[in-house]
Amino acid sequence: MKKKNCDLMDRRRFLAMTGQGVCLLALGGLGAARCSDTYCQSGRDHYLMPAKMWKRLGGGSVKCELCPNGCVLDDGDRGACRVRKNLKGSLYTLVYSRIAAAHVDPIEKKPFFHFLPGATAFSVATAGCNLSCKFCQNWELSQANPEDLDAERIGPDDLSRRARAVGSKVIAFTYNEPTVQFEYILDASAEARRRGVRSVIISNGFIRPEAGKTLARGLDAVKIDLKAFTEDFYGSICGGRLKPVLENMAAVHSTGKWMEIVVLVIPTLNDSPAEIRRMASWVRKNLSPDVPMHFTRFHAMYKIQNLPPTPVSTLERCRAIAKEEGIRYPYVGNVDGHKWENTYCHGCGKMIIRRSGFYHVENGIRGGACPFCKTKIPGVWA
Amino acid sequence: MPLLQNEDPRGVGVTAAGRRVMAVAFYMGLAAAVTQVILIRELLAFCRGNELIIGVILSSWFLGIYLGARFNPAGEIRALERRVTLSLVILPLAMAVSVYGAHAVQVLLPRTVGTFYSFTAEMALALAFTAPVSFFIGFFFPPLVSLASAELKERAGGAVFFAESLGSFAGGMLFSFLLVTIANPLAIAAGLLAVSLGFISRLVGKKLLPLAALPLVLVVLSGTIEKEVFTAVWNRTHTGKLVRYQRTKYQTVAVESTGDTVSVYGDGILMYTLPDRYEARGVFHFINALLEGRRSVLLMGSGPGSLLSNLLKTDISRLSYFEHDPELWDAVYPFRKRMYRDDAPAKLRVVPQDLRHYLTDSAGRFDMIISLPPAPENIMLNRFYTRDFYALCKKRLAPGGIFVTSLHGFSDYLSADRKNYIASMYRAFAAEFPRHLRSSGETIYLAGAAEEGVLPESGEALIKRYEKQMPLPGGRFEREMTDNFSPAEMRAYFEKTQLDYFGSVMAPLAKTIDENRDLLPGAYWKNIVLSAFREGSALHGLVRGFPYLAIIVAVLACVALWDIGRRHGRRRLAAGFVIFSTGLISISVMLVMIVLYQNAHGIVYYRISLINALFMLGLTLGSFAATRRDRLRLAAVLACLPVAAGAILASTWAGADSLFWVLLVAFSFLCGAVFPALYAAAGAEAPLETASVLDAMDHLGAIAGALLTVMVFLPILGIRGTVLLNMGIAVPALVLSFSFRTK
Repeated sequence: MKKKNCDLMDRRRFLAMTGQGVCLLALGGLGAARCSDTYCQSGRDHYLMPAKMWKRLGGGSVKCELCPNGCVLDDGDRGACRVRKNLKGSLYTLVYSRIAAAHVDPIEKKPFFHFLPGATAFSVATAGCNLSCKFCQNWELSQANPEDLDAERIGPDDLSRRARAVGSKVIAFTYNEPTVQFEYILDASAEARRRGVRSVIISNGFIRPEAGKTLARGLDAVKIDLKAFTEDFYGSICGGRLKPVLENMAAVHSTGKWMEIVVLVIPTLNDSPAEIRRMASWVRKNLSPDVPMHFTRFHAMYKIQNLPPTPVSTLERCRAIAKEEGIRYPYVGNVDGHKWENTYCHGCGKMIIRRSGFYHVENGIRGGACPFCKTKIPGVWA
Repeated sequence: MPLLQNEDPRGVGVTAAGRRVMAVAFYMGLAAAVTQVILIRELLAFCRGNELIIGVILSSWFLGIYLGARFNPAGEIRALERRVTLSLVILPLAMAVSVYGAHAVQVLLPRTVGTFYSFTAEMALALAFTAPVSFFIGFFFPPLVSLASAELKERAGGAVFFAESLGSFAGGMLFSFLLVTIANPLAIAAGLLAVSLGFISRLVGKKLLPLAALPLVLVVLSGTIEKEVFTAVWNRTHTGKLVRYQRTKYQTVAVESTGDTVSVYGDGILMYTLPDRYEARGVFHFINALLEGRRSVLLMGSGPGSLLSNLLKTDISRLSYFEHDPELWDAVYPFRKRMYRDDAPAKLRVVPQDLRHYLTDSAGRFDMIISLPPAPENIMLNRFYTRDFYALCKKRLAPGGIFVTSLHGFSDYLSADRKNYIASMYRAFAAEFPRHLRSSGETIYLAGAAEEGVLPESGEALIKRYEKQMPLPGGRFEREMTDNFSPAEMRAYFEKTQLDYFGSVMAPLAKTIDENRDLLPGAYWKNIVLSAFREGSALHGLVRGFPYLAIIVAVLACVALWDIGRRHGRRRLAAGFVIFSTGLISISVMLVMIVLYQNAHGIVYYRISLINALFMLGLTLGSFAATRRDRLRLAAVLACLPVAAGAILASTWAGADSLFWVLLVAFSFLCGAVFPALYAAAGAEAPLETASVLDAMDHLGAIAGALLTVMVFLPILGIRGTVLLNMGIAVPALVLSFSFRTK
């Protein structure tokens, strides 16, 4: 049976149409990629804000001077943190007010044990981090590009309003690495102070000392995750370096802001007694014996999925070593109900804060001092 | 003396040579079946043991066979004989190298302790350790057919295929019912090598038998050697020291000691760590707060640690603890006893059975069912997160009964992949238990009841109720179990902003995401996608964009078919297409059958070899029938194939578990009949050429079937959709079969 020509498609026409389709798809894809790039460049991105802490190099390149990575970025490039971008020779932050997670947490969860015990912290996060720790608890935030996350705009003034509305007297910049929100935190912490809300950060400390000090001046407390005490660990597990972290910790501590240190003890990787001893010794000599150290329990996370939790006996050993090295307030962490999660006066040795988990805190401290021997207890109590 | 070729075509030697050929084919089939299942187990122990990797291992296996068959040029009889002899010797050696290479690679390619290799690396390693072994299974086949053809003419292909399939059946049975419990891989490899040497000695008429004594010595020493190797590798690649390991029929169990803890691994995956008194503290109180006099309790998935120990101290009258692998309980119990210092009280009953199986068979009703399985890393685990399972549990609850389970939650943010993953399970749960209590956190605990008013209205209400009921501080719980506990701790389970966030994210997804089901195991697949995302694997793009793989496979198949057309002509091109299709369908349906079996019965490792054996039995019978009976026409066989697949499809509605083995054998019977029928139809006049094309394309089809089924068909279409698709794929092959002249 003879068919009409219009019902059939000859091979030439089929190939031509297929070719056109493929070209259109390819152009569409390129266009979409281009559009997403120009979206930022055109300034329509309402999270875009000129960055601080950088300098121009020749040929449209810039060097970011916020963290020790010191990324040199050509036009259109992003830093290792994923959230700072060179747009036509100027550096911008992509996460100003771009809040991807906001929760109300007990301050003990951060953990801060000597900073307003029993308070809640309005805790916020954006995307991005300047390290890539294989055990990151919040990798879905820290290892993501900002545009890949659902986010809401919370401006600096809104932030303290929101904190007060939920009954929190503290704002915690946490979950991802807060120092990559440098510009936002500077503005938000200043605004919070005006409204009587405190600000704290939970940071990896991998920031240049000048930037760290600038940031700390606007804050009320800083918690640093000291990941280990070897360059090897920082290099192979975190994609960073130890020395700049130590330099920054000393710089931040010199501002007089309250500091606590957390060490996530991971079996095999950073749990050797010698390493813990050197670490505690460094803290006592370079910071203060009053800086609390929390030795917390590791659980399988992110890329380290097949490792048992840290034996509690290892944490107890770490705590004992820190105590021997002169740290007055070493704690065991992530072990609800453990006796070394309580606070014992360094003067008389009696329990002055009883904790079980994050939500049960009995604070016996009166006027910043031990109720039994009246020794002044280091920390921020009111 | 010629190795296999008939020395005197006119004399009695004809039969003797034929028998020798068939014996070699049988033995190689047996060795191949045993080798395949051992490789699956050993590779699963350093890869993540899921069906994706099983699919990759199978496809690598078939790739090796394809290459062995493909690169097999025509040659002199002597050359063909040498290839067969070589295959006989190399196969067991290659198996041993692969098995112990898979262990050694962990030392040679070190990874951060506690991490896995990336999916991409796992696939590459699976390929590297599988394909070289199976190469020799493909490599021996065409020469053997060619040697047999002098005597068997056009039936040579079918006859060799029959003998090989029969050997595979025997191998599968031998492994399932004997070797799995008594022999380690080294002993098996050495045993096979001894048999190979004995075989060659007989075939070539030289005195090689004393040489076979060497591997027999290895068989005797294999236990000691294996233990040393396994322990040395473990201690170098793990955080603790290996204190016990055992190959059970379900898995390889390893127990390591770190500090004062003991950790238990199944197939290399961490299962639990003891003592876990701090870990279990929260969930124990959550459950205890719900117990309220409920007295008959089923518990599965927590491990024999603190939760079990604490629950036994409550006023539960009967606690049934489910541990499918009795060897696992035996391996752990001595350590548990040392740590918890309590003898198993009379009210504890350890049930060495799959919980689902038990609930299906049992007529009993229970006050509380607690299911805390590991994440749905594989389909065996996924079946504890499906709507079908939740419905079964609901059905088995006594009046006022409570079902408690857990989902893997989130820290502070739900990425797109994690949202989908959690939503598919949560939706399944909420569909059966619309009235439920939900916790927040990295592990989300869910409590559901079939009736109104059984559960407290909120977490806060539960805490308040518990504050009134719980033993006083200094009482029994304080002293013996959970030091320093306060009911206020439970607020960590009900953080308002976390609960609100979860609710706001799940609400829209609950309408769009497929709920996790036995026959559409979405959570299992979404877990793989999430894992690939977590490790930043190149596979992530591939597994998220499913059709890409299908396109890649289609292009590769076209290239292979074009190559056949160019080298062998149109008739063999058509034959290649038909056998490619049936190869794809057969392995795809076999994988579906494995998943169906797993859904019904749970852990399947040792049953894979049985399923494989019975599949091979079907192939054997099919190829036998097609070789012997000319009436078994190709078109008829191909027409029956979708009908048999349809029967399997129907059985998923009928729940005809008893028909499983019958359907398996019937389906594989038809698959087995295709090869000889097609061989006879497509060109028995050039045996080596035809055998090479058919064997190669059969296995290429199997590769495509294995990969597409685990990575595309099952995730997108589920089990029924996969079977339906396979029925559709059979149609073009059927149409094309009419182009052959079938005698």
